[in-house]
Amino acid sequence: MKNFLICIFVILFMCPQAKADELSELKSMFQQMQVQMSEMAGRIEQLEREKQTQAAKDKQEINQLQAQVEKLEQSETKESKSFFSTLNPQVSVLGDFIYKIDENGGEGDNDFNMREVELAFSANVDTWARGDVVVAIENEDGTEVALEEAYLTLLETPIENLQGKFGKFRPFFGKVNQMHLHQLPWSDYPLAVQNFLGEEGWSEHGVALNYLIPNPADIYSELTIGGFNSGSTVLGGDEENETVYTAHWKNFFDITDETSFELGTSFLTGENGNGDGARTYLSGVDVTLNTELLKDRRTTSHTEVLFNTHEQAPGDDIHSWGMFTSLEQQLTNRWWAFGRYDFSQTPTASEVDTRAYSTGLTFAQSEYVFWRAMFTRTDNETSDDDNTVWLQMDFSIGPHKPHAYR
Amino acid sequence: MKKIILTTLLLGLALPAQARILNVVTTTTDLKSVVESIGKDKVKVFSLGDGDQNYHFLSAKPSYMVKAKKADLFIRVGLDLEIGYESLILDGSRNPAIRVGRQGHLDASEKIKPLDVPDKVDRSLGDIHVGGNPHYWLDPLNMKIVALSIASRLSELSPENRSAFEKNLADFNMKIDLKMNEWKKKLEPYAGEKLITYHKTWTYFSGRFGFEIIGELEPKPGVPPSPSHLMNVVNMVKENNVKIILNENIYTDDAARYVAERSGAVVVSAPISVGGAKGTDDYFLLMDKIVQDVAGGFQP
Repeated sequence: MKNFLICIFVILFMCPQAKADELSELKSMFQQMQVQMSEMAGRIEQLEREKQTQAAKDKQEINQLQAQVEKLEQSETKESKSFFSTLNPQVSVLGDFIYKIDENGGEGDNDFNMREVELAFSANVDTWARGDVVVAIENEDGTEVALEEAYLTLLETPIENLQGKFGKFRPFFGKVNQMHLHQLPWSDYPLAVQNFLGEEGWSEHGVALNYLIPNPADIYSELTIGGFNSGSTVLGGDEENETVYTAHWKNFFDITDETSFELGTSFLTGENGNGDGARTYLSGVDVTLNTELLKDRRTTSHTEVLFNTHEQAPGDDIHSWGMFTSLEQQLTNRWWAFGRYDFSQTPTASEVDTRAYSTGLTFAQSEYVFWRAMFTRTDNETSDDDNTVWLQMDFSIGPHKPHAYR
Repeated sequence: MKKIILTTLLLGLALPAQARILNVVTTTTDLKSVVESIGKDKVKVFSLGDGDQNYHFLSAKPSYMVKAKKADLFIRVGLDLEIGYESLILDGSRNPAIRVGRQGHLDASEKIKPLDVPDKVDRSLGDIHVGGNPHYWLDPLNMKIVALSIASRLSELSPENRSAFEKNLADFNMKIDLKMNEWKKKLEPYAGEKLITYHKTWTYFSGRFGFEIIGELEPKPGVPPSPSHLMNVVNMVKENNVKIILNENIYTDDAARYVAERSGAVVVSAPISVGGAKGTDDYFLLMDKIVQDVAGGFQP
C-alpha cells in the first residue's frame, strides 16, 4: 500500500512539471511565429509602399509625358496657325451659275452660263489695316478677267472714329451698290442701279473716308465722303480726268430687339464730258426695314430712289429718276420668297420709262450654296415687253469673310 | 466762399480717385452672367446675343458696333463661334482697344480644354469648328476657368478693384462647387444613360455628368435632319434603350418628337443659355433648369 501511495504521489508531482515545460516550449514557438509574422507583415507593407511609390512615379512620368505631348501639340498648332494666319490670306472662291430664259434673248441668254467666278483674298496687312482683293472672272462675250476690287482699309487713324478705304472698290452710294452679285437677294441688279450706276453696280478707283458720328442717343450714324475716277459708266463717259465726289450718310436705328430701321442718303457729282464744265448730279435715298417677330421668319423691306440731273448745253438739263422697292419674306429657315418693283428712266433720256415686276424663291441649301428661281416682267416704252426667267445657283468655297448686315 | 472753393477742390480731387465702371460687351448671355458675378457693381455688361438665339448666326448689326465702340472689354466664347460677325463688329466699332490681341479683347476659351477637336476639316462634314466644340459653358467647371480669366482681365483693366474681383471670384467658385454637389446628386441616378441630342451642344455637359451621347438629330453639324437619318435615329434609340432626346430649345422640336413618337423616348426641350427660358436669369439658374429638365425627363 505504501508503495502504491508513493507511485501516486510521484505521478501527481511529476506530471504538472512536464506540462509546464511543454507549455513553455509552445509559448516560445508562438512568440517566434509572431515575430516572423510581424516581419512578413512589415515586408508586405514595404512591398506595397514600394509598389505605390512606383505607381505614383509612373503616374507622374505619364503626366509629364502627356504634358510634354500637349505642349508640343499646342506649339505645333500655334506655329501652324501663326504661319497660316500671318503669311496666307483667306482665299475664297465664289461661283454664280445661271440659266436665263428670255423671250427677247440676247447673247448668253437661253443657255447655261457660269456668269461670274470671284476670287477673294483677305487678310490683316498689319496692326492698323486690312487688305482685300477680289478678282472677277466673267463670262460675257468670252471669258474676261477683271479686278473687281482691291483696297486697303485703314482701321485705325489718328482721328478717333475715322477710317479710310483706298484702292478700287464699290463706293458708298445707296445700299445695293455695295453688294456683290452673290450677295443680292435677287438674280440681277435693279434697273435704277443698272441705269444710273452700271450694269453690275459701280466699282471705281478712289478714296473714301468714313466717320462714325458720336451722338448722345448712341445711334449708328456714319458719314462717308469720297473721291473717285470718273472712268466708268456713271457719268456717261470715260474721257474725263475729273474726279467724282461722293457722300453717303447712313443711320441705323434699333426699334426693338427684333426690328431695325436704316435710312441713308447719297450724293455724287462730277463732270460728265459734255464740255464747258457740264456736270452730273446724282442723289439717292435708301430705306430698309428688317423685322423678325417670329423665329426664322425675317421680313426685309428695302427701297432706293435715285434722282439724276445731267447737264448738257446750258438750259438743257436732263432730269431723270429711278427707284425700286423690294420685299423679302423668310418662309422657313431655308426658304425665302421675294418680290421687287422697278421703275427707271435713263440718265440721258428722261422720257423713256421702264418698269419691271419680279418675283421669286430662294432656297439656301447651306450657308455656302443657294438656289434661286426668279421671274421678271419688263415693260419697255421703246422696245418690246419682255418676260424673263432666271434659274440661279451660287456657291462659295473657303473661309469667305462675313457679310455686312443688310 | 473759401469753404465752397475747398469743397469743390476736394470733390474734384476725389472724383478721379473713384473707380470707374468698366463697359463690357460679351457675345453671349452666359459670359455676361459670369462677368456680372465677378464685376458686380464695377461693370456694366451688354450681351450681343440673347439666350434664345442661335449664337452661330448672329448678325453684325451696326447698333452692336456702337455698343462695342464704348467697350473697355469685349469677350467672346471663341472656338470660331463668332466667326460670322465678330470681325465686322470689331472693325466697325472703330475701337482699337478691343481688337483681337489687345488687352480689351478676351477669348474666354483660351484656357479651356476643347472637346470634339476634328482630325479632318472639310465642309462636307457640316459646320465643324476647327478648334473644337464651342459649347463648353455647359460644363460648370469650365465656367470656373472662364471666371478666372475674366477676373484676371478685369483686374488688369481696373487694378484698383482687384481685391473685389478676387473676392467675387472666390464666391463664384464656392457657389459652383456647392451647386455642383447638388446638380451631381440630382443626376447621379441617371449617370451612364445614353442620350440623343439635336446638335453637338451637350458634349461638355454629358461628359461632366456622366451621360453618353450616341447620336444627334442633325446628320452633320448644321445640317437639318432628313427623314432617312431620323429613321436611323429611331432604330438607334430602340436598340440602345435611349430614354430621352435632349433638344436644345433654340431649335424646333419637330424632329425630336418624330423620333420620340416612333421609339417611346421622351423629348426634353432645355435652354442652353442664360435667358433662354423663363427663370434662367443667371448661370446658376440656367444650370438648375437644365438639371431639373433632364432629371425630370428620366422620371416616369
